[in-house]
Amino acid sequence: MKACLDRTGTVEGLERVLYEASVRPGARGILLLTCDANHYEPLTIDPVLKRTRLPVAGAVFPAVFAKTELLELGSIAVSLPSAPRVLACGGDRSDEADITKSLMESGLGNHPTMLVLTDGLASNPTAILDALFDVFGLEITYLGGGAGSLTLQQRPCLITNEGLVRGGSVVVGLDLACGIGVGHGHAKVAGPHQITAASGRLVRSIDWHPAASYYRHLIQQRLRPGEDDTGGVVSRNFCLAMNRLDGEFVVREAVRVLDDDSLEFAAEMPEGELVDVVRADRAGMLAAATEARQEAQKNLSAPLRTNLCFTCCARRIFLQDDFEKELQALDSGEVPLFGAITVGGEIGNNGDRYLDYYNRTCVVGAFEV
Amino acid sequence: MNDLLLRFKILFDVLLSIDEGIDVTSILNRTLRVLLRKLGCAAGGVFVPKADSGAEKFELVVSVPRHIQSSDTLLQAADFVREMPAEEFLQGQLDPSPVHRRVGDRDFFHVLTLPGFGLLVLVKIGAKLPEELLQSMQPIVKRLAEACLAQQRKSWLQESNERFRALFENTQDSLLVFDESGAVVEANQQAQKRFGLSHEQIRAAIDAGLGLTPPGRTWSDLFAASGPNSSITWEQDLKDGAGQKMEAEIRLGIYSFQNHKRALLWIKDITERRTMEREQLRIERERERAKRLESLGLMTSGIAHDFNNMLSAISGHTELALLDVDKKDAVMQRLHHIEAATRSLSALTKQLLAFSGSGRFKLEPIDLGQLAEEILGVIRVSLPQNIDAILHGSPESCAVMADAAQMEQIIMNLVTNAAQAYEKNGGVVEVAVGRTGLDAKAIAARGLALDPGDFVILIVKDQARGMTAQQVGQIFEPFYTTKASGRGLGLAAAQGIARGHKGAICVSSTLGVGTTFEVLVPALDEARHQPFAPAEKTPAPVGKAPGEHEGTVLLVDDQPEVLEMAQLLLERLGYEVLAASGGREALSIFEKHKHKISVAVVDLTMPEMDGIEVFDALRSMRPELRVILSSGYGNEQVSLRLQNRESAHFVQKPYSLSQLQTALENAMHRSA
Repeated sequence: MKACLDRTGTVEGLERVLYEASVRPGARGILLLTCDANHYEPLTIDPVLKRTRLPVAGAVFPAVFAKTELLELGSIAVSLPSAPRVLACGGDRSDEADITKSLMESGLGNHPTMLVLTDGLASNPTAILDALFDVFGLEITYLGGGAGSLTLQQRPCLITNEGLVRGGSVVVGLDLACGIGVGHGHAKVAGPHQITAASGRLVRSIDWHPAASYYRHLIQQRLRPGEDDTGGVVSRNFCLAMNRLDGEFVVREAVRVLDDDSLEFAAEMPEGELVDVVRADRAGMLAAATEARQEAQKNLSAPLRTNLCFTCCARRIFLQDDFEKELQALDSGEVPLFGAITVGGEIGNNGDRYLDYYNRTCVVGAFEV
Repeated sequence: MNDLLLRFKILFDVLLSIDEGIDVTSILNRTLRVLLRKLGCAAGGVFVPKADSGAEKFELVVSVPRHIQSSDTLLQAADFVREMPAEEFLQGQLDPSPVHRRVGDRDFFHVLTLPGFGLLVLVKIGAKLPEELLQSMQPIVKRLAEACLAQQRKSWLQESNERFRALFENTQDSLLVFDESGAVVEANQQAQKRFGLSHEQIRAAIDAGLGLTPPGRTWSDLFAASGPNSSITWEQDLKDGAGQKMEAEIRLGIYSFQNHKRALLWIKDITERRTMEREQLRIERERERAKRLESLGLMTSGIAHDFNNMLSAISGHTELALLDVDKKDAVMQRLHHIEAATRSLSALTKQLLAFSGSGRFKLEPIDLGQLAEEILGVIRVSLPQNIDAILHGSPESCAVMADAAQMEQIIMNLVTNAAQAYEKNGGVVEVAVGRTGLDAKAIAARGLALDPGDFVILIVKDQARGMTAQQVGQIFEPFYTTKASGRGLGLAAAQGIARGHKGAICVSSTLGVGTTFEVLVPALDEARHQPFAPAEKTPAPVGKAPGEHEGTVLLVDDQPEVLEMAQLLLERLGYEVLAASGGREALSIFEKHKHKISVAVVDLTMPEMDGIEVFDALRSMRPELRVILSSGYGNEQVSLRLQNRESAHFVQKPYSLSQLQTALENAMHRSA
């Protein structure tokens, strides 16, 4: 895979990279990772997308990166050497049954790898994962994440040749082998606690206490001497994590405190769930990134040629200047690396467990081309 | 501790998912999803025993993901479970302990027993689920099985209820359930439609419609005397909610429901069935009657034929005797009596032949309407002054292929009967002629045995005293008459004539109202026939006095007395006669006197060689030979055969000297 970069964030710049990516030798399709700060509108970029002669699939993210270069303005157009099958499915009003029907009729099942780009701020983000799991199972390698803006305002963020749309998902079937690596680097410090009232991403009570106050209280008890984690309305150092019996846990990051003292999380938090309080640790997170890259390469049964990575926006917020180190950890130095910073969750599954969103996680896909 | 709590939580979530399911599939689906998510499993499925070609095997009913994938682990798990001993499971003999199987180096699948329901399979990639966890899941798995079985029973019950409801509601019969007080507890749609919309209305309709209990029984009697599962059936005329009469077959079944007796009343509307049965019976009787008349006609026809032969001899000899006896001789008077009696007998035999349907037909295209008009003109003169006969004509063609004389006889008989039915009161006899198409249904409705098609219908209607059903049933029987004078052959003959024309006569009569006869004769297909082509004018034969004729006649008849009489008649006319008592003898004589014989008179019905064969043989020897066929009966078939031999002539037995003379002169003249 080869990438073309636009650092201007203009429509002309987008048109240029799309053209360059499409005329690369062997190009059969284009993966477009573009920045929220470009402020692209359907009116301006839909004609460009429609003019592109190769299949295009992509999304708008808070930031994108190529190797260790982080772009907060501009786009990365990646030439795909295999013709992708692109399906835009599910809108804000679609349920799992609608999405299931679309998937069953899509003919995507023959592809070994699926890139799943979702609207990270849509109202029903898990519907696509449940439907994918139900229809295609775990024979397929899934990789992807949530698109959108850090402002948490839902805007059109999913891209196909048809244009820029809001809500739902874009599923891209690739005839390419892919190995997946997943890492987060968090450690349990307290728990278990129970989510006692929740609806979707909104948690109203934990252990029967008002969610936000109680969460803050739990965190304050675990602060290290001199540690200050009260700068924002929600913690940067701590998260909640849903336990899995096999020792794994799925991190859930609180993103907003609401007026009624409830907490909004980056992904769905089921009522009744048992959660631990987990602490983020810079070294641990960076190590997790390295491990994810290595695990991805290990899971690829062919020589590594390209790494495609989706990492959570919260990791960048947490790591701040050290995020460059995360990019260095993800970059093997030997093969191209492209990626995006996600909103609302990351997706990565090698076929060994139920398909779920991760938070504060980086997912690496190792490709043979 | 944390692990224990987590396990407890998993079990709790599973319980919740069980309770949230609304049917077996959703319970299993939800539970499987929870288990896979919490246990970090890749796939799961539930298998249940199912009979397959006589052998019990497990079959996958729910899987998450929905489709079993092609990976070794999943396929091996499915294959393993499908081969598990389903019969032992059904008999409760299968060890309920969880089963683990390793697939490849690191993957596992686990089989847990859902007691009495099936098997739960969980596929874990890269690890094995802890034994303690699986053991601790036993109560939950049991609970899951119980929930599925309960839901399955509920579903079966619901299905059974729906099936019952569908049967109850969709039957064409009225079904009503009563309690011991006689109140309507339940009524199907058909009952509601027939008797009223509410139970009260139904009850009211039933009360108004004879009470709906077997004759002489009451509700309380029935309930007291009938044990559970007893039933009684009877037939009863009912009135429905709209007051319409209904013939019903009612079956009352007593059964026990929640310790109370209930009565199921099954009301079957058999009005249509009964009507059809009655109609069937009527048609059956009509057929039997027709068969009887046919046999009688056959016998009558045979008797009339022989009778005619004898009459030929009597009348011929009488006629010759009259020529020989002096007019002043006293014997002359007696001979005239004999002649009158033979004429009368001849008329009677004609009636008998007509009844048998084998009278001599001279088929030609005639317009029945025109014929009726002509006949009515004649009849009106002879009708009493207080009786009028009017004709309703038809603008359509009423052409039929028929014997005009026979049709005339029918019209005369019917109109005369109708006029006589008025006795001294006077009235109008209405005659109508028209054309109608009758399909099989319309023919069956009239109880006739005709082929469907277009018919000309002649209707003769009076408004006189009418007849009883018994009289109507006997009216066409020969020798049955309601008149003081009459032989009772008129209507029998009319029916015979109609039958002989492939038609029929039917009658409807109401006592005190009047009688209507319908005569149906197949309409002439005018596209194929030129019904009223100008008739070929036959020049009148040149009348010669007896004894003035010349020539040789070959006379053939197997009856010696007829042969002798005919020979005398011919000789009296002046012919030389060569007589033969059979076909072969006739041919032998003809061969010898071929050039001398000018006419052959041949009897139609003879043993060995019949008249037609003799005719053909003679014609083959001398094509221009004049041949006259004679017979005691000239049935339709013979008539048709004669039609094919255009130069054949016919003389009906018994014939007189003058009739024979006319026939011979006609033959001679035409052939000349």
